[in-house]
Amino acid sequence: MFKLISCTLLLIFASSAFGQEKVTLSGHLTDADSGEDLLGARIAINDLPGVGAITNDYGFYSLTVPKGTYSITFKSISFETKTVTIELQADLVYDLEMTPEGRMIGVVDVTGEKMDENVTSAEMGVDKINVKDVDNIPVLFGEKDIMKTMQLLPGVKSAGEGNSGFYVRGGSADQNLILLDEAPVYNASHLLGFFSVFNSDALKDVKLYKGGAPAEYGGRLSSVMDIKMKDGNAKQLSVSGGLGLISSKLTIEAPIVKDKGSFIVSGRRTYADLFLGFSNNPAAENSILYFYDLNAKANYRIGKNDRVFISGYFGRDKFGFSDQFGFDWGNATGTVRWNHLYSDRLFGNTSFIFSNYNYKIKFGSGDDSFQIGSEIQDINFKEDFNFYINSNNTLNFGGNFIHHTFRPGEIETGSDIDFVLNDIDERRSLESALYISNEQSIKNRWKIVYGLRYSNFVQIGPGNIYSFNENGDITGSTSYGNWEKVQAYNGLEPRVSASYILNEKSSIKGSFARTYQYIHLVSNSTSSLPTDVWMPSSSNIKPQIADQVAVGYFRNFFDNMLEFSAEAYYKGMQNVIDYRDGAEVTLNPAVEGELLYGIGRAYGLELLLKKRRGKFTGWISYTLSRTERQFDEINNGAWYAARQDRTHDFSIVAMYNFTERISLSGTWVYYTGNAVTFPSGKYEIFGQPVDLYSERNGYRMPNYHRLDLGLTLLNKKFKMVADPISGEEVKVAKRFESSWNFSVYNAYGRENAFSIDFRTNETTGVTEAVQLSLFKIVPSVSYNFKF
Amino acid sequence: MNRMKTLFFTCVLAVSFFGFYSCEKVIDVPLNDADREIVVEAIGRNFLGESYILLSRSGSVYDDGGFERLSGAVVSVTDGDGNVFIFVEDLTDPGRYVSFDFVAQPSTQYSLSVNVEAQLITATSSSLSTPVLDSLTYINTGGAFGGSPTDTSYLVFYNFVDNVDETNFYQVSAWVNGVKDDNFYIGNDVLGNGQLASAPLFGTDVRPKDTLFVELLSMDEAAYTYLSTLSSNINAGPFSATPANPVSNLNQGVGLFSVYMVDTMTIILP
Repeated sequence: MFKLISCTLLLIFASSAFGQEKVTLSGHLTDADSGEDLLGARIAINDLPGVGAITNDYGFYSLTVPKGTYSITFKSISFETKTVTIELQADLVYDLEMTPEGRMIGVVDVTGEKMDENVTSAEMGVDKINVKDVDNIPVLFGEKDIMKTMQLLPGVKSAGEGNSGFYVRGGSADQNLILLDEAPVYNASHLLGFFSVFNSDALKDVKLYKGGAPAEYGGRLSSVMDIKMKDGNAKQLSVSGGLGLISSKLTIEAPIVKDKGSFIVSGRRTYADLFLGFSNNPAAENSILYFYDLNAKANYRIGKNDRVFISGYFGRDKFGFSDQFGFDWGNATGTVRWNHLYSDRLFGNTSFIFSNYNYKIKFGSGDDSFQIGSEIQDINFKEDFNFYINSNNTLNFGGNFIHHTFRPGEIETGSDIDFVLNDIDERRSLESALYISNEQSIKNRWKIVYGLRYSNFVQIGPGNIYSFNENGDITGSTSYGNWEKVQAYNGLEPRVSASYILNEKSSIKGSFARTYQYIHLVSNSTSSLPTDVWMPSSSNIKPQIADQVAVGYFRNFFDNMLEFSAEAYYKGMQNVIDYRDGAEVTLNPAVEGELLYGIGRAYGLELLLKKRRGKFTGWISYTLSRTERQFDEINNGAWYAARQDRTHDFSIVAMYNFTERISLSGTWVYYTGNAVTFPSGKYEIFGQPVDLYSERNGYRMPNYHRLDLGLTLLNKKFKMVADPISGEEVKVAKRFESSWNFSVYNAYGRENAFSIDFRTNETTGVTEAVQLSLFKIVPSVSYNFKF
Repeated sequence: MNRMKTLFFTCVLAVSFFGFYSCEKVIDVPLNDADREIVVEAIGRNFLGESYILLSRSGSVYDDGGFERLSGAVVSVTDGDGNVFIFVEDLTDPGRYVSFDFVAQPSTQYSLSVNVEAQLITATSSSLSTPVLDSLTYINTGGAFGGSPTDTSYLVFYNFVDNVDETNFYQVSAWVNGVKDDNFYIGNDVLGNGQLASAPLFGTDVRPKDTLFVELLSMDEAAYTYLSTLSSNINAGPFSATPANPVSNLNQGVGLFSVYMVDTMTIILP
């Protein structure tokens, strides 16, 4: 016993003897061309192996080490690595502007720097998209789209043509938290899912956490897509844009005060309805079909320790038919943020966030009109801290508080309409969380991120709350006053993720996460629609809970030229929601009685092989998976495949730079069709033939596959100018850059099934299966410029 | 509401410019044939001779031969007082069983018994009070919803007062010039118990000089649940709910037993 105590005391004194005089090196890393913060950049002290830091979301880093002189290397993807020698005798602020690498993708890297982040970082289940990659991947109608590009990565499945949303690791479309500068975007799709609302010209970084998100994120079971907008060029005016067949966009960035503040404004609009005007079809001629997006952001650095940002997004889809029918929907988000350096080891960010999603459907006009609308609105206060304890530990903690308002159905009728439909009561709730999480590295072999999130949800009045029996009939209703508590839920969400470095080329990782989801998307249809309504947890609806376990093996080959990863996961879900047979979901004030609760499970293996550098770059991804649900009242209580269960999901993305000016890209995707319910018989009732069904989701849609090709031609970047002194002609970079992009969607014209209907042929009277597919070959041209 | 949703989403697909590119084709989809089910369509009404029970069998999805009717069944309906009404097969329409004396009475519970193919199928249904159709009114909607402005077409509204003492479920059907409109409208009194209900016959196309015959039926909850789940089935399309069999009140087989109290009214448009 005495020996134990004395040993412990000796150790403490010994470590404090070594931890004698520590100093802190901190600062910001930015892009030398534009002044944008570099997030996720790495700082390594070459003399102290394993000691290093990573910049946070605002480009800030902090490293506490013993006094001394060190050789320090700064590196960031697609920037030139820089190594400096710094004498550290006192706390020092060292900011660095980093020079971008050659502009093209895949320039052969002469320095052979180690980009082994995928092996060494403790993060797993994360997909990061380099926004510049997105520019070269061909998408529908030539529109670059980060959400469509994400769907090419393993574990992320597209909902298919004509469907908004995506599925991650077997979860449903409402289980993905999509954040734009910390504001949730409730419907990230335009035009029924053909495009996302994100204009990639305005974006800086996109990260998708496939379930093992760190403790600072919460509220959705399947994934978090964290999207950061660019701050705007702080050095000079920069304008870029594009003109395409279907849409055009323009982005303007400029400094407010050089190197202190800047702004960016980016807008995009489609004009599909202009083409409709040429149609012979009278229905098409009078149609209105367009969408627009507007992103705006400004930031200003006040003194050395403070920075303020304000950003917003506003977008709308409009669809209609002259003035008789109109349908529009869209999001509006706004964020105001304040970064403050409390000390060179404590960085804090305070945010106020606003988010609104609504839709309106209108029939008729003027006095003869009828309008239905629905809306969800959030006001959020968020506080986050990064505390850089020492070179081995970074502590992140904070909390947030959200006030949700749900308006599921608001009705307005013109004075000529006689019948009366009442609004559905507004619902309000408060969702809040506190979290604490530590990133720790041990002995240069282990990296562990462990944390705990405490989340709380309270449904509050005012309102009339129904109670239901097990058949879904209303048994009573209670009235609540303003801010009165109706029901509260809370949960502890542990999050752990660890990586063990086997050698400098490979590592194994594991993670566990528990997540709670308190708001749910009510959608009874086989497709997801803009009219799906968000509902809060309540005295009738419990929060959904997911537990996910994952393991992975990561290995790089050929000096980090090729990255390989294999991840296997298992996710169990509780309180999953589905609907009674024949549930009436639209405009039903008692919709909670139509819901059924069950459990779900999803498991799979994700393989990814990626080539990062060279003339030829790209990746191959394959996911083998299963996702199932079990409800006592559905399918006789037997497990059935969820609609988004797709056994195989395969993508190949290839980009090839022929020369400095010509690059070719191609994408091939293949996946098993959705699980679907088809009839197994037919009978006649009330004189009409009716389909007879036996199992739920017992059949499959035909397999989906598609090839997209794209060609980008960059116009000359240099011009020959006579040197004023020597008279010789020299190459000078042109300020105005432009390129042409040609793309073909579905190059071999496969008719992929959007839906299959069983109909009676009007001539022969026989029932036949009719498949509707949306696209054959769709070519597109666009012109892009930047100066 | 379901119909409206399907209607305008069908418009979405039809009108959108993707219509230039989209295509339909008939494909071959092999299906596992389910066991053949016995189908019972048993309707009681409050007018003599209008009640019937229709027995048939389900077929395979791709069968085009019509549906096999079942003859030789023993069919009866018993009311709450124990009176038994036998239904005999109509020899001119095999599989259809009728009664000479059955007239549905208000607020009575009935039970059905069908003995066919060595199976006993039973069900119960309650009738409610007889509804009263107050009036049929109309507005001229010429030019709306994509029609030409010189056309005169009418949108007819039915009006009646709900019985405040009961939880009611209704169905409204229409015949234009003697031809039955395939659409039917079902609703309940959750939002307007005891109040005047007025709603349009949305999908029924009525022109000047047409004779419109409207029937208002009152039914019990089991029948309403069956009909609303049936209508989702019939209107199934790419944007509808996962299809499932309608919720039936029979102890086995598919179909419905329902006793309706009916009121009717006729209007001739100018």
